[in-house]
Amino acid sequence: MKMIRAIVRPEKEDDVVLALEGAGFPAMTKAHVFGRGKQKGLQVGPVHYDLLSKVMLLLVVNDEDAPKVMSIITDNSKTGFIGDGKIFVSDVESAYTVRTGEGL
Amino acid sequence: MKELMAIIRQSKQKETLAALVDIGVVSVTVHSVNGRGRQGGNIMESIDPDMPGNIESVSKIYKYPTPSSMAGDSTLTKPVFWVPKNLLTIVVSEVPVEKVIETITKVNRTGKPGDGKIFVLPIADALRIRTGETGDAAIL
Repeated sequence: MKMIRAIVRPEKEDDVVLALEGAGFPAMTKAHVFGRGKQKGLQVGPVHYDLLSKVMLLLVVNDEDAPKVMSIITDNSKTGFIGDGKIFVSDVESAYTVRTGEGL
Repeated sequence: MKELMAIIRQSKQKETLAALVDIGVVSVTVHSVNGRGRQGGNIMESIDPDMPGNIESVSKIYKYPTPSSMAGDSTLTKPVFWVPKNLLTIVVSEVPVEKVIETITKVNRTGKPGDGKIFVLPIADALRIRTGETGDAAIL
């Protein structure tokens, strides 16, 4: 299993979530986070924004579904400008459902 | 070293942390997150199974319906919501992972959907900032 942590623009959250839901991935966790990237925030005239608001989506999917989920997120959150976000993928050794105590 | 990410009910947080202290897991990071699972966040079904997918009436109850509940092209038939959850991040080395999983499961199990998930991830290394210790010494 793979854990996919996607950091996307807050205004694109709806698009991404709907697309994932339509593709059969309704289960996810989201958190509102603040972050910055290579550009160290945003400079608008004299004002410097150090941390920018983002939404982090956290999904755990099967190995074979990971590329599909990543392409869905990319397609729906891409604007072509800086600040589109990142997707991180990490290995999950095991997962358990608390209700039944069984491994997935 | 393993990282455990447990998504649990917010109301069970105190109880879970107390139970974890009892088995020797004292360091925990808590995030407040929103989530939904296989039911697609459909918490209304358990409250009122006869409730139709009437989005308007649900919007009155809940201040913030999700985009899915407002969207016409949603694949889910009933209104869905983001359910507030707590995400516990625990890195363990000495205490066995199975014991932590068992403890969290025991405290959080109600038998109804929404009890949460536990994910186990490998951790490459850890470093205590105060002393510069790395590896197992950093998390003991």
